[in-house]
Amino acid sequence: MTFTKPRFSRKLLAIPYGLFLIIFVVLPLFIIGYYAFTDGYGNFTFDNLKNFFSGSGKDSFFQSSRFKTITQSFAISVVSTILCLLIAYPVAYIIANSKIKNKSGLLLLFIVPMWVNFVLRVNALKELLDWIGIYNVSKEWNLFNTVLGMVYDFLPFMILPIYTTIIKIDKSYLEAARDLGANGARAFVKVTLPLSKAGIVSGVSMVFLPSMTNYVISNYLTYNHVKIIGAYIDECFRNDLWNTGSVTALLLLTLMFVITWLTGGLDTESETGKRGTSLW
Amino acid sequence: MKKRISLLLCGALAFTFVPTFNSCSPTKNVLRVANCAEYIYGGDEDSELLRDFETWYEGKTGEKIQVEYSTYEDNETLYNYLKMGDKFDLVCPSEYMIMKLADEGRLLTYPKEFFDTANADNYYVNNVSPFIKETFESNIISDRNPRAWSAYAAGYMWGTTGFVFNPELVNPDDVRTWNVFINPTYKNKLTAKNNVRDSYFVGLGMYYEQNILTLNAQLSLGEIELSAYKNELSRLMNDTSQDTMANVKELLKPMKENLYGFETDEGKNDTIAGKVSINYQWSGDAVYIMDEAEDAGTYLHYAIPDSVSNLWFDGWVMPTSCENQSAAMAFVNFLSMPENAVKNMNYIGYTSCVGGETVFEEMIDWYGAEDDDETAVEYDLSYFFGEGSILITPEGQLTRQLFAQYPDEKTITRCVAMRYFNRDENARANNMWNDVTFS
Repeated sequence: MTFTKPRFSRKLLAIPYGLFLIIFVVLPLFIIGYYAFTDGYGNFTFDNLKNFFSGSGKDSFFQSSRFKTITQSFAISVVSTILCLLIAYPVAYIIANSKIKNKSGLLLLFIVPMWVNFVLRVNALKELLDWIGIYNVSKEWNLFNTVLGMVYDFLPFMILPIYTTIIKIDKSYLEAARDLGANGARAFVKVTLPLSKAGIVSGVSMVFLPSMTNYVISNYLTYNHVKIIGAYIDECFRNDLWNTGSVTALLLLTLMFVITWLTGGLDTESETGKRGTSLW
Repeated sequence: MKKRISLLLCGALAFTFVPTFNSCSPTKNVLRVANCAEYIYGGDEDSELLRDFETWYEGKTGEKIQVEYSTYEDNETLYNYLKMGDKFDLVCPSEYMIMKLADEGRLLTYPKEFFDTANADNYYVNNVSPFIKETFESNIISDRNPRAWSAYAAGYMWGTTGFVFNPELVNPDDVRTWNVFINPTYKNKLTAKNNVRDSYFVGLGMYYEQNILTLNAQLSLGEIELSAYKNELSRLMNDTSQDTMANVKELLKPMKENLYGFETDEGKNDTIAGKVSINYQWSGDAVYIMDEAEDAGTYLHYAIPDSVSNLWFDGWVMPTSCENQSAAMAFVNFLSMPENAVKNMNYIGYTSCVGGETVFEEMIDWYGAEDDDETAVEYDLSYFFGEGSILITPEGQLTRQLFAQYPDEKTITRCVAMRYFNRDENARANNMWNDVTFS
């Protein structure tokens, strides 16, 4: 008689997350898709898509404010991500390679701000900018403040994954590089940088995606002067234009997907050989 | 360390997922009310008024009731709640949203007994101001549903929109026109509202200002009937044709350049702090701002342009999801008791739709002049409180809180409600608004 003992399989552990994924990620996507391709009465249509790409009046799509809103968000996002990377990488590198025993304590300094509610932080930043005298004084400063806000808020999301990949790099690779005659800089470029790519990619996607849509930051820090695509989508849903909002959200999602794909974020064979080295 | 962090995170997550069990059993009588945030005496779900209502209702009917009070940010949020199937017994949208909801068949009508003046417990019909009653009875929902507002809605608060300004920094003549928004003297010192409806109204005000001033002159010379005047005013300020919208857009763009910014709530504090010297505002918030500024020693004024301004009403309506009509109506009646209306007004700053002697006497208490006040003037509020309601008030109040809460009849005549946008207008307005605000 065979008796199969109920066995605890590791796969079972994935169930909570799988459920979460289905209910909060997949299902909403289908709902967005439904609204993007139906009119207000539930009939299938491509009109929302067509309307999105048609201009208004004599302006073509590329002259429309929708297009300009997207390009502006894109530019803000690119600049914020680059700045985050430029700041985060050295920080992560220094912490990971520091001689201090309590590295985690050092890292904590950068994570602690994440424990404070982000709306509160943005509000505090607004007061600070106002005190300095650069809050809502000109278009240029408004753009500057938006980028500053994005960098300020999303920096920890860049530091953490980079730190975790750097700290895991086997020191013997570096020693080998040095033994073979590479100087410090060369060893860094040839060993550390490629081996921390997974962290960079993960950090970039953690910063790039939200800074294109996080309109709370741009609204708060610029007195609603700088409008990013997230704010436009919000307005669509607020003003009972769910179909327009959904099609915009879907297009944005496609854009993000393409970008992630192009930057290799979906590449499962990263150079460390295993995905999942990053914290996120 | 990483482990410790993830442990911490897990702990935090666990806490958020602890379900909050409601102690209510299914047999319990519940009234689900949704209202704007900060729009009732004593602060939302902790309001004493809700507990008072529960006691009062039990005393009246012998039934226990529990008010489940929730709040929303604005009319549009409420609309989305209802559209997504959230269930309420009583909600409080503005007139345009009432029209939209009723037109889409999302509201119940009030039954006959609600309007029975012989029943002393019908506080709403017995106390509502004649001005509100008339307005709610003479305006219809839509062409498709030509019933009066009053069939669906019982007035709660009402008001106008206008300018809160600092007379020491602003020439009062400048705020008599909508063009103040493009007046370079006040560059970066002005705010407008960060929503398409309020700002489109401003744009229409600028666009039609001359036409309306001519119309106003015709009315005062008696060349035009009041009803014809009202119709024409309403037609102009509800013009959403493609051409007009395109023209208004071209007026709103330079306006944006002149503004400190479009705001929703920030304007209050910025005006009190003096960062903004002209704040386009709803009358109730204007009262709040003036009160706060007064405490700091600054006397701000409230003004409505000479041509036209917006008149708005918030009313209690029963969505089709209403399961407890009698309690819902009792709640409306309870809030319409003069003493409760006064409590609400005092707390939130807006003007109640309830008129009558008790409220008027309270206003004498708030705004009446001292006996030895030499600036005292007569202020006629008969249109709202009934014949002979004349308030003796310090002259200063005619440009301050009293005027914001109860504009005189002449001012009210040139104020007009803005109906909801239909599907096409809505899409067009949204595009127009993005064109104005994107950069």
